[in-house]
Amino acid sequence: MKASYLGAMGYSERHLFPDSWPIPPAYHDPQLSVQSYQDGMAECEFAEEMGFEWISFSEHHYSGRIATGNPAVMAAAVAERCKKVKLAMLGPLLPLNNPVRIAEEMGMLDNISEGRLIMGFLRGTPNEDQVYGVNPAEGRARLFEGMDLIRKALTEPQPFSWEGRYYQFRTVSVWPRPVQQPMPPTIMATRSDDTVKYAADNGLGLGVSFVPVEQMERITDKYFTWCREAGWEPQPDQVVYRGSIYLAETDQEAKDWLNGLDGGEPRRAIALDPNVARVVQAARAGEEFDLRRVLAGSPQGDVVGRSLGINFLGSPDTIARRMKAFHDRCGVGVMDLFFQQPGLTHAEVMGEIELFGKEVIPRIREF
Amino acid sequence: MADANSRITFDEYILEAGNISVDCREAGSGLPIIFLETICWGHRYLYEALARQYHLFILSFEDAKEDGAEAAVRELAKSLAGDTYTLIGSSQGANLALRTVLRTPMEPEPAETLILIGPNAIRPDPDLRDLDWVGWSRRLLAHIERQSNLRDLPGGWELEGLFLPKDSDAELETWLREISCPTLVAFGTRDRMISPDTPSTYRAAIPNCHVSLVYDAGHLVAAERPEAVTSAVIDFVENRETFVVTRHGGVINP
Repeated sequence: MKASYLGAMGYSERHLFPDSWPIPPAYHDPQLSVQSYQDGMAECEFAEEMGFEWISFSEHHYSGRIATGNPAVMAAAVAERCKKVKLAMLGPLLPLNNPVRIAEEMGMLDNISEGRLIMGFLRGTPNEDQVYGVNPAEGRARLFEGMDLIRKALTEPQPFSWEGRYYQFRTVSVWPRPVQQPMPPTIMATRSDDTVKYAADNGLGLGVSFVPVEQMERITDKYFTWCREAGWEPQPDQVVYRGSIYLAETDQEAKDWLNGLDGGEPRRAIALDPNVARVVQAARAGEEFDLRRVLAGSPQGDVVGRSLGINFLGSPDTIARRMKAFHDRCGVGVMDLFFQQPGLTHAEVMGEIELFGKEVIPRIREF
Repeated sequence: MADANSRITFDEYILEAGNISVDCREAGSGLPIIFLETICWGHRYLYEALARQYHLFILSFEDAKEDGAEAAVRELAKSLAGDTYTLIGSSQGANLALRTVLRTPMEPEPAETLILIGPNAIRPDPDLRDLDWVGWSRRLLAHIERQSNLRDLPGGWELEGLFLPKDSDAELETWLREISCPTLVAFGTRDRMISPDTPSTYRAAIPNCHVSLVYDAGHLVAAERPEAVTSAVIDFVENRETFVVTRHGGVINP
């Protein structure tokens, strides 16, 4: 199993953010922000030094918790600092973006990193649909069409035009082509059956985030079955799990940290206005939602996209054992880890990276 | 121009050229378009859209691979449309359109604009013989479940006759660079009648060629994504190579 470090580039004062989304730009202090990016990139460099084999990037908007609205910009900066790791774009939110632009970014990243790019695509959490004005009901169809367009854009040797349902481009001729031919390794990040099936049918890897091992096993069981039906077998690098982690010298130390948090878990919920959340969820499920029939919403807001607390908590022994379960039960070959828990300082994160590199990576490499 | 919602009535008659008789349907007025079809199935939307804007002649050959068919096209097109016209062909009709442009006397080139929809003359999928009706349906369509009139497709043996390219069509690839008129070649992204490198082969070989990939459509592009194909075809008829320039406005509120 390989380890991947999620380059979240979190704003240092993120623990002061409200639980709602979006985070008002008024929270932004330029000096703290500049330092936060420098700290984040230093963490990536150190992660590479400590034996992490991938650095991943994720697209999230309007919040400093994961401050990479354009992950390609961040990956390009890190590519110049880290010269060995794979750069895993896990990834662009395809329904929100122009797929041709994404293809161009992928081509550039694979070139400037000398062929170290791993591409991953996903639909995104429900709040993200609002960022660029995408109808939540169209997200899945845009994801599938965007994927087909990107794959054509990166592989067709001659210019073409595209007559899609959501995209029409009369001239597509992406330059540069990827260094890795015919395409960089590609992963679909999802837990939805139809997208897992798409990945299996098209020979793509699978990435799943933050679910318990039992749920991960159900998802990967389907994936492996559908891959077999499609006539191929995924390699270990094609099954990626993203989890949040807090690593300490001992289990007790880790529990004490968690118990010291307000509410006994990291504050990482994404709370939308309750009526907005209901409309988004209904649209994604293909249902109608009539606001005029709602009498009142919850004053706290409906929570969408709440993460499941900490996926890996404890000492190196405990964490290595839990990761083995993901390997043995789910076939996970790459563990992508979110270290920047709210309230942790840069120095604390660096300490965890060091401990993980010394005590955990040697163990997980064995399975 | 006819109302966009009205059904178009086509005049139907039989024409003779040499020893070949051809079913012809005609409707509309304006710039002449000669459309060579393999089967009528699935083309109604495209035909009606073209007839609302242009003088459309649909020529349907009983055997588009018959020797002399290309000379017949040229003779009939000249008598119906005069010296200049847009020549469109679909599937085997596109193969015939290619032969008409490439294998009949070149001066002057008969078509002012050439549009090929799903040609499989060059680089066809090698594994197309001995398919039954279900096999052919799945080869022709990406989504058979979306077609309400699937049962109206001809029988399997008839489909083989309609859709297998002529053996000598393969040599057309070496002639493609002779085409001088603006050319649009449209393929479904899920066309299983051709090899994957076919679209780029056309684009590389024909000097003024544009390849249009129609998302989520199989070989019968016009049946599966009629609006998308019609949009590309009419834009190309209207604007030829400048169809790449976006003309619709982006203003949301003035």
